Amino acid sequence: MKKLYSFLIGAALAVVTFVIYLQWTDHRIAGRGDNNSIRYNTTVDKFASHDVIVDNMGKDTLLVLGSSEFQVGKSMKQHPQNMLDFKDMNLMMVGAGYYQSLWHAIALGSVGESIQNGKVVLFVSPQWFKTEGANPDAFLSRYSADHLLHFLQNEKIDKATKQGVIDRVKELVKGNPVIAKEISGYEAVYLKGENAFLRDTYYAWHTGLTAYKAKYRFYMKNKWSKKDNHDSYVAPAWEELRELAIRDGEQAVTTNPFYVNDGYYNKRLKSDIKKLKGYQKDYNYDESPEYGDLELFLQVAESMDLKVMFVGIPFNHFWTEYTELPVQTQQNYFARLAAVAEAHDVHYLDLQAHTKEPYWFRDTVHIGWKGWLDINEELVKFKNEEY
Amino acid sequence: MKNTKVRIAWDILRAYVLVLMILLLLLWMDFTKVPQFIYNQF
Repeated sequence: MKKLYSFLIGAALAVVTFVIYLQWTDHRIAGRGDNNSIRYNTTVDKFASHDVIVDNMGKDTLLVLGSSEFQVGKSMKQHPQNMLDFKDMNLMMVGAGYYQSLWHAIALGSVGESIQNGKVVLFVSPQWFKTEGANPDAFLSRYSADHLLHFLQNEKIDKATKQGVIDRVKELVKGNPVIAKEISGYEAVYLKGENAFLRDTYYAWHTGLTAYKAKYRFYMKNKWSKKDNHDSYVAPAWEELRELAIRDGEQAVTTNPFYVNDGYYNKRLKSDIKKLKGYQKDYNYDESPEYGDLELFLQVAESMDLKVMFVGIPFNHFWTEYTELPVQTQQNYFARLAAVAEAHDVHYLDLQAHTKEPYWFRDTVHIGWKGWLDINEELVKFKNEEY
Repeated sequence: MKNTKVRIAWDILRAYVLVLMILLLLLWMDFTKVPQFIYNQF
């Protein structure tokens, strides 16, 4: 009996220590940030955390969702991290390779109520719309329980939209029994209304702990500047910057006719360049589950009355001509994107005119020196309501 | 008497360490076995 009492006393002390540990670390990380180094951080740890994103979005922060273009070429002077680094004009960048419409629909449902200026931008890449749609393994590696829980608990989003998202998520995670079971649990409690007691006890605790873990992981594993940014935005001379961007591009591209920077070309393309000729000739973006995912994204945005802007990333003509991506495929894709935007009253930034512009891209698909300048200018206009 | 007190203190300490380790393990262990996925445009 004495042994049992000793064990219980020891266990109780351990629980008290554990709770104190949680509160102490939570206090240490609470309120950190509110600076641009976190807003422009592009790590999976940041994207996965509801609190890190919400705590660092001010009234002058434009939430931009996208994919690999945010990570590639961050050292370019024209990248928003370097060009829009102001206290009153900055971006909360969320996205990296394989972050697509469905992930962004969940994240938007999670953080959307905290967008103070009521606006969100989605960078839409044609590569998302391959026939097979989002890759299940890629989706799993980017899955955030923290965002999904906040999404499901967002009362502004209707049940049908939530069910549509959950059905699609279940389809993509079915290869992972642990996550599939976790999501079925969320569905039972938040959508089917089963077991209100469990929802208000275990799942309330689980939500808090999941948010804590995601936030802790970011703040403890990643570096960011402790300095707040005090500079105010002054509109630059865009045309002069375009001249400088061309010069930057000319220095970086000297070895190939595709206007792909030398580093990328030599490392990724040069050895396989003959094999890559014509490899996109059978590509087709006409039918893809991604279109349904994009609809879900827009339904989520509409349910919170958010003003949406699409940035339609164009094709690098110099590359697609070589890889023989059919022009019809490209035209069909953009026509469909424009139709979706029109149907949902989305401000659509059509960039197709730049497809043949040297130095607009920095590699085969990613935005380059001139491209970021054009987009930055439009982002500032969107944020300042100059449309 | 002294030995009994020491034994009780030792039992409490063992339980304390064991439970705390289990709680911390549950907090930080990832049981989901999510695959790593490296970006590759091709």
